[in-house]
Amino acid sequence: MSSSASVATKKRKASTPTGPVVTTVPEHTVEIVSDSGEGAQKCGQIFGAVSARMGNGAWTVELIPAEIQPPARSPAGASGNRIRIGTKPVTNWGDAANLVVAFNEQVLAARHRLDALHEDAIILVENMWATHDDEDIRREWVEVMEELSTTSYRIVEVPMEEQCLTITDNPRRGKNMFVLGLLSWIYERDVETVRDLIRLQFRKKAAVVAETNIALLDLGYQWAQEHLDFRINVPIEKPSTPMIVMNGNQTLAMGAIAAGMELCAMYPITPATSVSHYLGEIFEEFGGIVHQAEDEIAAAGVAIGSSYAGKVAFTVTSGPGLALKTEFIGLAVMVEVPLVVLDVQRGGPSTGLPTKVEQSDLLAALYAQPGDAPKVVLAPATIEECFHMVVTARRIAEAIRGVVIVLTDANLATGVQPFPRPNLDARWQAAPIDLSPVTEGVKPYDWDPELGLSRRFIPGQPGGMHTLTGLSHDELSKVAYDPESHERGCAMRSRKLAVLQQSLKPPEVYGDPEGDLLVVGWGSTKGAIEEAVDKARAEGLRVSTVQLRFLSPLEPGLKEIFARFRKVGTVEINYSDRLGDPYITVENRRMGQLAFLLRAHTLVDVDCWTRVPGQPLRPKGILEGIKTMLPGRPS
Amino acid sequence: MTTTQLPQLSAKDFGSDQEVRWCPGCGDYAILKAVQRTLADLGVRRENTVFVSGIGCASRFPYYVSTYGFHTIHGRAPALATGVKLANPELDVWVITGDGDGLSIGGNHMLHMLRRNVDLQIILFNNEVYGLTKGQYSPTSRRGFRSPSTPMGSIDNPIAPGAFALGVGARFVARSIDTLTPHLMGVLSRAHEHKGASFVEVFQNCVVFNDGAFAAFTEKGIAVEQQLHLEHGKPMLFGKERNRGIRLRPGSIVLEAVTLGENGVGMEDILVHDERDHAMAQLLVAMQPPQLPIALGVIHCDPAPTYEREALAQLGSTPVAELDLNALLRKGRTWTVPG
Ligand SMILES: Cc1ncc(C[n+]2csc(CCOP(=O)(O)OP(=O)(O)O)c2C)c(N)n1
Ligand code: SF4
Ligand SMILES: [Mg+2]
Repeated sequence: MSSSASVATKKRKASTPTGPVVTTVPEHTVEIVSDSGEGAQKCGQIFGAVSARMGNGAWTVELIPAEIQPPARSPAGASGNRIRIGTKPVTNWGDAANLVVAFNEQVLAARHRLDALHEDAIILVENMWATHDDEDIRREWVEVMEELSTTSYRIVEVPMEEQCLTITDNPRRGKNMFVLGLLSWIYERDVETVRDLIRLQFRKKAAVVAETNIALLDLGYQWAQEHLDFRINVPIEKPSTPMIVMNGNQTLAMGAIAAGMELCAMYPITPATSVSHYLGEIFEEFGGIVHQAEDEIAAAGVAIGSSYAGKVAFTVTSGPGLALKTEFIGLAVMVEVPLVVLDVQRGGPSTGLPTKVEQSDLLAALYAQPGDAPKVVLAPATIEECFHMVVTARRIAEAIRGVVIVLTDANLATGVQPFPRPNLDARWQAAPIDLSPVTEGVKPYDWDPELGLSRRFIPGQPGGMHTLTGLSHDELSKVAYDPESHERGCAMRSRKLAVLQQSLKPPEVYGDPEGDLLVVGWGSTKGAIEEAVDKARAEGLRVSTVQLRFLSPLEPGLKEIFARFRKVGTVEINYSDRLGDPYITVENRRMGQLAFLLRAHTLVDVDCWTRVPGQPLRPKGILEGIKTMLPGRPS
Repeated sequence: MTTTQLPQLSAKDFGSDQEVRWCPGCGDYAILKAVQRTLADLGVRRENTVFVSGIGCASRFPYYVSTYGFHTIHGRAPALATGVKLANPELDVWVITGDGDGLSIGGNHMLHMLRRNVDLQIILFNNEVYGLTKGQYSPTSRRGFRSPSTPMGSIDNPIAPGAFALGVGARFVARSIDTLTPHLMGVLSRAHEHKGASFVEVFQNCVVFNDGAFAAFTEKGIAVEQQLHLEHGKPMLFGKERNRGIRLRPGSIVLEAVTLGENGVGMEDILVHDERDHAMAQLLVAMQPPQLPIALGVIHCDPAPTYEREALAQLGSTPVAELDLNALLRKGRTWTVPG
């Protein structure tokens, strides 16, 4: 095995007296891929966090294996992280990786086949497989190297295992830190910061664990210094305000804390669960309850019951769980008990793509309930917005005595991005509940006839005794089946959305306020869409975009904004039929979910370009979508 | 704490102004009366009392009491009630459910509420039928029960609510009959007194769809011979002459009804009721007339820590309202880039 080190050394003899060539770039995208369990994700997380902490813009995305227990060295098992760092803030995961570290050639091949690598990508690959005892493995290595020989990648073989063996008996558990060392040298990361993060990572383990990992880090750093002839410099522009680095689910949890949420009712479901894990950690210290219910139905019921009894509560789930909560959400709408539902969307239908991103719960969030169940639906577009949206959701839910569903997705959930550190504002928290006696004559639904708003009574409040009911009811909460009462109840519950809508500002258009195509997006696609629009505009195309945060009620002014463009089309991560496919006609074509909604609301002939790849959209792909939607071309 | 003298409320004060919409003769009326009288006797505060129900005839109950109430959705009252108790353990919560509501669509929630031992009272109105939806068989209907959905007779094995509750870890299981008012009131008081989930099954006659379902032990004349009224620490005697008793058949763990003085049976053979004896409770709850009398009263009572108390005990010492988010955003897994 010792020969492999010399192979790499000979091939890439680097330590020239002049030192490595440093390339300065405004941004760079790194991927670290391994079999699952080899720690590439940890390595990537720390690399992303260090980069952000040093002041680079950063966006990290987890690369999740297609299978839960994939065999070792299988393309399906490719697991890891993509980290895109830049001098400026980074808003999405980009198109292709510029540098890839692969723990074996099979996971490398997987990324290559997915077209994830830039044509000039630099590849650092573990080379123990080239000389492995197992003949099959050696053959597989050769096959992949042949496959890659037609590319213009620069492949650097690295004796990771052999190097790690000098420090640990279990290199499988240590390679990731060695790789972190390589990357730290290549990208000129502040090693002391990296060491700090490693210590923090292993703070609950024996001190020797952190020290071994740090030794591996240092080894990787040193090996890179001695053997590599290139370094990459992504200049740092220190942000002017303190920044904080979190993933979207952590951000949701922090938002829940900031909003004064005291109870989180949930049932474990990927990719939503970690919100409750982060919250649980915080609640160990600060009063608050994470209640793991027997299923998502019960979780909704517990949240509604808590809210009814005066605690600020929410429930968090993903698509299949949202489906189960349907009837309870309808009840909350009907009885006007405030409820916040966080839905971290994944691929559907059914169990679908459990770990992967999709934006396909929009219409379910809006319309899953039988009967008319008006509710507010919000979609944060960035990780930072995840924080503020929870606060907004809580405030709206209480102000309108209603249900607010916040739609995030797997991309935001696991993506990590720095954003300005929020300073807690007392107004974000709910006012303490008022249990003072109810004035005689005030009704349980004292609807303002214009606004539909009313004050609710909370059990424990003297004089407010009444029975809430999911049956149609009047102001006294008495069951009322007569036409007037039912019409009135429906109108009052619906009116609240109109009132809210009128308090909103029209969305901002990114790009010129007029042109040939307006791309409309919602949720996590914002960064990628805007990057694609920038590219399109650089090519001279008259394209702008607008990202919607309020899906129900829709933000005002859309019709006017749309009127200034020759065409409007949505970009979404959900399924729509494509014209040109067998049997698909303009008449029977099923549209993307936002497109469907916008067509209904604006009577504008909104087109759509949607994909369901199980991963975030890439700016390059969106640019193609923009070109297909541009008027005058076949779409 | 200052205590103010609250006005004594009567059973009538616990009635509401809503028109009661059960069929004339329905057992639900008697249960309503018993609950209202019990609430008055207990001197509970109306604003601190919440009746949470699912859907069914029984579940209309909250409309007819003057406390707080929540008529929720079919089968899910236990989940909602759990949330109420987690939010405010001081509230006195009653869950009202039917055999379909609580054991079919809501069986799972019932199971988890019981095993968690949420401190509330559950009254399950068992009429062995779906009343509200017009007479289909329910999970407690007996085999052979003919209904619109089982025209040739049910082939399902019925569930025994008490056995179910004991099986999933309920710490308080009691049973009574709709029209046995004083007995029912006693059971309800005990349920209220018990800290934890108190499960009370009430045999309730549905005059329209399952009239006489419990006649085998409620019919005048035979009732006294077919009902065993359990009392903690007292021998299990029944019958008009109180000369019949329950014993373990020698050499087995099978209960049998015996007559004092016959075949050498004496008082020393008769079992003495011990509410904490879980194994005995399982035998008692399974007794079926006519071979054995139906066991009524508090079958099992063995208090344990309640869910909401334990949840509150785990709470971090700082209330969320006082939490320093700014400090939180500067530690642990969150990094700050100095600006
Ligand atoms: C989701 C749902 N499914 C079905 C129904 C119809 N439904 C209402 S009550 C009921 C059965 C009630 O039976 P039980 O709980 O025994 O109450 P009872 O009417 O006998 O008191 C059914 C099936 C409903 N309301 N909701
Ligand atoms: S249908 Fe049966 S249970 Fe329902 S109200 Fe009538 S008698 Fe009572
Ligand atoms: Mg019934």
